[in-house]
Amino acid sequence: MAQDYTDAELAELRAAIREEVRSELQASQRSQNGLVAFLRAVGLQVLARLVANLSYAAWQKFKKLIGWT
Amino acid sequence: MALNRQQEARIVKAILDEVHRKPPTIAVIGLSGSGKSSVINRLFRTTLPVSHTSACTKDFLYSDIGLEIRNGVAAGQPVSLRVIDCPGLGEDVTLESGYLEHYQKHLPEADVILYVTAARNRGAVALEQMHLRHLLQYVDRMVFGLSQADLVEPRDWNVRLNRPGELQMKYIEEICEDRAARFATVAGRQVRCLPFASSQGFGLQSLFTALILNCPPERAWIFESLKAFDFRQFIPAAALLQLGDCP
Repeated sequence: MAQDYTDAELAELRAAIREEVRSELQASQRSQNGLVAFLRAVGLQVLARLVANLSYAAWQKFKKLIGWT
Repeated sequence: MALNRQQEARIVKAILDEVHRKPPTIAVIGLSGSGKSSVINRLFRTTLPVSHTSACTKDFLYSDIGLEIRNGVAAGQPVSLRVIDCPGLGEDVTLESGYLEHYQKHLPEADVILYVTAARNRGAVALEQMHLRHLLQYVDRMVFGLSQADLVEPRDWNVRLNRPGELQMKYIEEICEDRAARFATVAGRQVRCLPFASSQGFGLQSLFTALILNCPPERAWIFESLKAFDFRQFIPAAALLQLGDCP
């Protein structure tokens, strides 16, 4: 595949991708906090605490496990 | 810290119970032809009917769209996305009050509301403001999206990057600011208008994030379970390759 993108084009894409990644992280974090709020609301306090303490990597792994990909 | 199998299973059960008790519910408001169905289909890989020439149905839509969890331990489990929509809004003055009544009736059930305004439909903003005025009590749960951004003049869409051209981007931002200001005067609060182009995948991640952020906290996770796109799929493969692992 031809790699013929200019530095300016790549810089524009990098900036756009950074913004998308930031947005994706924000959604993921909100989603994790939301699941914690939900688990608390249905009385699963211990599980809520565990989900709240998941690292970013562990949260991503959990999402993959349950099919949120 | 990680979860063990038993804990994972209990969470999955709680999630599925909740999804079945009350499916994730999104209301879409916007004039006929503004691209409401297209964006829902893109975000959630649903199959709402889309027409480029006429309203697909004149009836109020309150539909549960059957989906399936595609991966993971719950793969194959059926789930629904509930969509509240008035496809014919703005087409016939004799039907408008009926549509708005339907929205009044069903919007309380929505987890989040997506208000779609078409980028090139400047002449209809007054009508959209009137609709918004009737639905003011729900404005705090609304996300405002500017659709069909790829059709904004001078239509210099950058095909190589699959992004708006420089001048097009400038105009898109101006339109967003203008619509946001017009909606804000009616809404009585600050409004942000997010541009997107369903056909190109442009702006979808930001729109999706805004939807999640506007959901009630305890329901915010529910839409991520149905997310059916990755912004990377809309970046040309050759560019991704050239960017490598560290964009």
